[in-house]
Amino acid sequence: MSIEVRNVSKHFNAFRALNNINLDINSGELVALLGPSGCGKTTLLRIIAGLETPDAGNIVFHGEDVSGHDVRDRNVGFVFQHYALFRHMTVFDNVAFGLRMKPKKERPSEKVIAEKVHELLNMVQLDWLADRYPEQLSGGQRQRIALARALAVQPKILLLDEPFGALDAKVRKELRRWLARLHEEIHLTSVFVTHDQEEAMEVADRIVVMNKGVIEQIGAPGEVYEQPASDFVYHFLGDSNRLHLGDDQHILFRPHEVSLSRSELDDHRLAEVRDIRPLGAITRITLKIKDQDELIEAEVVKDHDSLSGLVRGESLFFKPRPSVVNGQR
Amino acid sequence: MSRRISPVIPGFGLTLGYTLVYLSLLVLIPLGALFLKTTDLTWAQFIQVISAPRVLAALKLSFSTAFFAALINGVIGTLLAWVLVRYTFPGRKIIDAMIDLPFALPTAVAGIALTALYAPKGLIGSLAADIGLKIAYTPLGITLALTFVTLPFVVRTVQPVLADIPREVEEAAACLGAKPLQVARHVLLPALLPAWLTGFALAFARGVGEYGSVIFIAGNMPMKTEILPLLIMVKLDQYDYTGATAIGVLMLVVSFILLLAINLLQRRIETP
Repeated sequence: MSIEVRNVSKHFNAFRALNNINLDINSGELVALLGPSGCGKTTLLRIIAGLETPDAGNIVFHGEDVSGHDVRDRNVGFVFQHYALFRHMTVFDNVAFGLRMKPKKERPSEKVIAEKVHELLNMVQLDWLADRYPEQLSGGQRQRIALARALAVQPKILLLDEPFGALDAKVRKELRRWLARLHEEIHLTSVFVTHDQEEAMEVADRIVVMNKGVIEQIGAPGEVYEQPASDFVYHFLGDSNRLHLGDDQHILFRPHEVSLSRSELDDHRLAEVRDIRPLGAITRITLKIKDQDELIEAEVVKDHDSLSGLVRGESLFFKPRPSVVNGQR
Repeated sequence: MSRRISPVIPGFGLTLGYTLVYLSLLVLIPLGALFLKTTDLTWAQFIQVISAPRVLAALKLSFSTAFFAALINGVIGTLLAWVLVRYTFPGRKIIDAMIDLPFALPTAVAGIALTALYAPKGLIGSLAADIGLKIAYTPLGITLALTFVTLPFVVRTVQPVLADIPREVEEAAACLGAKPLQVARHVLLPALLPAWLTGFALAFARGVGEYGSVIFIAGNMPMKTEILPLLIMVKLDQYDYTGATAIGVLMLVVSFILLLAINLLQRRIETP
């Protein structure tokens, strides 16, 4: 089911959370709303769900204006950052909740509910936890249960609010890959909110970059990274260095967009090595150049020629090689 | 290799010792003396005292009015806690502070004030009389006084638990299609029930023993509006100390059984 957001604005007292947002999400797409905290991404998600009412604008699901519909009638699955599981219910009862709350006429029999719940628990690979209570589960398990619970009522749209935000780094990585695979299987139109650009790049079909209540750019992960529409997008989507050229001119480049050499080369600048950090496949070197207080970070493969025997305080020659032409910024 | 983490408060022996000494001085010894005093009576005499019609009528009245007062506060108190936790409005802090006033006020003052208001000639009592309802000098008046005195219990036990239930849980239920009543019935109430039962039990226990506020509004007619604590006072006035202690023991035993039952019920609910 497609989602259209039309001219949506929202204020919280004097704070402008969303300013005239327009967004089209295609059926079956997995879209990330990416931005720093306070950019309005969660508010937008909650407005799509019907948990928040916009001051102006409309939400359209598959051609039907649902702006006036209550959250109960929108048929969306919502996954919360802190799981929001019912703690006095077992995992099984949590997942069964939506089905049991249906009006008598539509409510399946307990037998059908049990089959459905076990099917969902198998899908999230946690069927063996059916009789446990939420507090007996790890964070990652809880979030998968929350997802199974949301999917039980067969929503037309799945909305996830920072779904991995409360998890530790390793679980987070596992779970987002799992989510991407799951989305490939069930192809449910999904929107998820995140402030982690890596997460958005890894999981989403398209990324909506937001800042201060407006959309800065919409595009595929490669697109927003390679062709950022603004300085904000450029900075937000990855680490960046700024090299001043004098006369208020500067260039921006990413840490890996650099050429390093131990010996002097054409167009290369002299810099002092401040720090060397091996990070696995790559090594990060912090450089200080003479006319600039801002440090430069360069990342090269760990067996790069320039690294052999390099120690702090030595000199290196570097040259930015930005792939994005951004000399005018 | 495992190492014991030393507890914050030192010494199990010491703390248990303190606990037992305090409990003994304040609760066990006085209550024990009460039981001991009743042994002046033979078993047959004891049964005779506590099965007197006047005692049984007062017993029924005391426990039923305390029960209904606790039940009313169970409903109203939960609503009050809900409003105080979930909404911000001007004067919320003041109302929150007012909840505890029934504890601070001398109960006799409360009793007299309520009687003045709800007596047939009183401000509210006269209105009630117009529709044929008599409040003061009836079990209804007693329930009213007990409701006033035990108001804080349910509010104060439910309030923190309610504050602890994140809004998201209600939103999650709504997203799953649950209607407001279903959310209350299936999500909020089960989470509140253990705390609610504690509040109910406290209010009930307090109501059973309440004396000061009730005697003014009750009218104290034997067999009709006479509560057990008053009957004990009557016996004392007649220098019938063993009779008074017998009734005291009866109250204690019945209260203890009821509170124990509530506690067991709570255990069953709380154990996942």
